[in-house]
Amino acid sequence: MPIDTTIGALADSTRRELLRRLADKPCRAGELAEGFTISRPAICKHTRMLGRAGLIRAKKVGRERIYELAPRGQLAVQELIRTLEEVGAFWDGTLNAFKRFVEENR
Amino acid sequence: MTIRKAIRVERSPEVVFRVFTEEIGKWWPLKEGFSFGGDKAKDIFIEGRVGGRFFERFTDGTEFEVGRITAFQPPHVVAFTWKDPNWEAPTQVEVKFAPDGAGTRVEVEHRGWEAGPTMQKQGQGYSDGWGIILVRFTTRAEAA
Repeated sequence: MPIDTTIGALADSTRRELLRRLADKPCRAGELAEGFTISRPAICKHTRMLGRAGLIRAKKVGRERIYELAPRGQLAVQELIRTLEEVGAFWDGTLNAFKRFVEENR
Repeated sequence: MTIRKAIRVERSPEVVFRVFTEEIGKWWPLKEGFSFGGDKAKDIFIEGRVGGRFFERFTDGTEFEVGRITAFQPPHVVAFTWKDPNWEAPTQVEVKFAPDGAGTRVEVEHRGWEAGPTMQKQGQGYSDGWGIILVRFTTRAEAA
């Protein structure tokens, strides 16, 4: 996948929000478009770009299209979540050490 | 994408802010592995002014700059950048101190994860590196 296609796919807050929603669970097209102020066709354009970048994919179930993260998008999101958890645990440890020190010594 | 943590400390904001910043070397758990220097961990400093350094000094005298101070308003807020050597882009940390009864509520927000948590994967090439992709995107977007 050319790097520029991926950069382009992520260079937009709507597309990043679509990725975040799909990171939670696969969504029907209608569900995925909910809550955006822009039109349905505009959302479709965004999902096509994410698809071309290899980050999401769509499957047909009956007459509906269900969108989900592609394996590559999944790996990326998992990696990000793992880092956020590690850093969160780091701050828990740091803040607890801080509280102990202040309350014992001041 | 922001990490938020908070804790209540049973002292006034003035005391809590001063200990957090001026006396960071006395309480930061460097020896418990919270250091970029590993076994060389010795001391850590926050310089109390905007543009000042947030850095560690190791046992061999060398220093490692974690980031730069971006806000310093005692006893309310201190903010700094934070860059792991493996990341291409810095993240942002903001620590707020608010009166909470007779004590202080300390809130940490750690932002900027769009720009580079997974730089460790750099060696694996572009194809699966979300972080690299987003860093490049951010750099480009900011340059535009």
